[in-house]
Amino acid sequence: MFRFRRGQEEMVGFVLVVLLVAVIFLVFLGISFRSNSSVEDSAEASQFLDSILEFTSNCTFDDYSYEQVSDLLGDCGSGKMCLSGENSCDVLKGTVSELVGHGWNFEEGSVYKGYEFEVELNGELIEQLPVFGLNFPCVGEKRGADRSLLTGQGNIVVTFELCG
Amino acid sequence: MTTLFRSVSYSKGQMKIQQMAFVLVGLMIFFGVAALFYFTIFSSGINEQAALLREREAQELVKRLAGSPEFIFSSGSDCSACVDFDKAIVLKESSEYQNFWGLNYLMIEKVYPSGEGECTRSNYPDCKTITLVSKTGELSTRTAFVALARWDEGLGYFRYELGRIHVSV
Repeated sequence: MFRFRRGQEEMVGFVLVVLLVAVIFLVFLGISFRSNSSVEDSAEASQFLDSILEFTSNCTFDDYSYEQVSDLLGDCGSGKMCLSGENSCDVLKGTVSELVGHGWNFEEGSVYKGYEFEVELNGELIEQLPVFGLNFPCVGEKRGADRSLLTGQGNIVVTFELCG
Repeated sequence: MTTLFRSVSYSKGQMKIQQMAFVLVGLMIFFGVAALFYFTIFSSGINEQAALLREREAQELVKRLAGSPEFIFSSGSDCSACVDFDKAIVLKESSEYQNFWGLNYLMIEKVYPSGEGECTRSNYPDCKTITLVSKTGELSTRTAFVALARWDEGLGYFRYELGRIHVSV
C-alpha cells in the first residue's frame, strides 16, 4: 500500500517538473519571437525612395524648369501653388501614388499589402500628407526607409514604409 | 527468510533503475521535441536573413553598375541612384559590350512613365526596355530601382524617370 503511494507521488512530481519546464520554454519562445513595432530597413525601399526623389514632376513655377519630387517636398511644406493652379502637395501626392502604383504590386497574394509615405518638415508631419495605400493602418510587419533633406524650408524627413 | 529478504532487495533496486530509465527516456523525448520545434522556428528566421542578404547583394551589384562609367549620369546633379538612359541606348547598339560586364542578362526597364516595347533609335524614349545582354539558359534575375536620366529636347534639360535594372550573373 505504502509502495503504491510513493510511486504515484513520484509520477506526479515528474509530471509537475515537465509542466514547469514546458511553461518556461513557452514563455522563452514568446519573448524571443514577439514582434516589435519597429520598422525594418529594406534595401529595395531605400533604392525606391532614392529613385523617386529624383523624379521630374509636372509642376513648374516658371514654365521652364519642372520640380523634382525632392523639391516638391519643400514646396508642399511652404504651400506653394504650381503654375497650372494645382497645389504642390496635390501634385506630390498624385506623383507619389503613380510611382508607387507602377513600382510595387499590392494585389492579393503579393508580399506587401500597402504602403505609407510620410513627410516631416522641421519635425512636424505635413498635414496634406501622408499618402496611404491599401490596408492601412498596418497590422503586419513593416519594412521601409527614410531620408533626411536639408532645404530652404528647413529639415525634411521623408519616410516610405511597406506593410507586409 | 534471508533468501526472501535478498530477492526483495534486488526487486526494489531494479524497480528504481527502471523508474530512472523511464524518466530519462521521457525527458529525452521531451527535449527532442522541444529542440525540433525551436529549430523549425529558428530556420524560418534564417530564410528571411537569406532573402535580406540577396536583396543587399542585388543592391551592391546595381550600385556598381550604376556607378560604372558606362552608366553613370554625371551631366546633371549629383545623383547616386541615377543611370544615364541616353548612354544605355547607345551601348545597346554596340556589340562589344555583350561580354563586358560578365553578366548573363542585363536589362534596363522604364517603370514610370511606362512605354511599350524594346527601345530602338526610332521609338526612344517612348519605349519600355533596353536589353543590353541576353544570353540563353535559366536565369534568376535580381532587380533594383534606379532613376533614369535623359535629355529632354522639349524641356531643354534633363528629365528623371523611374526605372528598374534587371541583372543576372
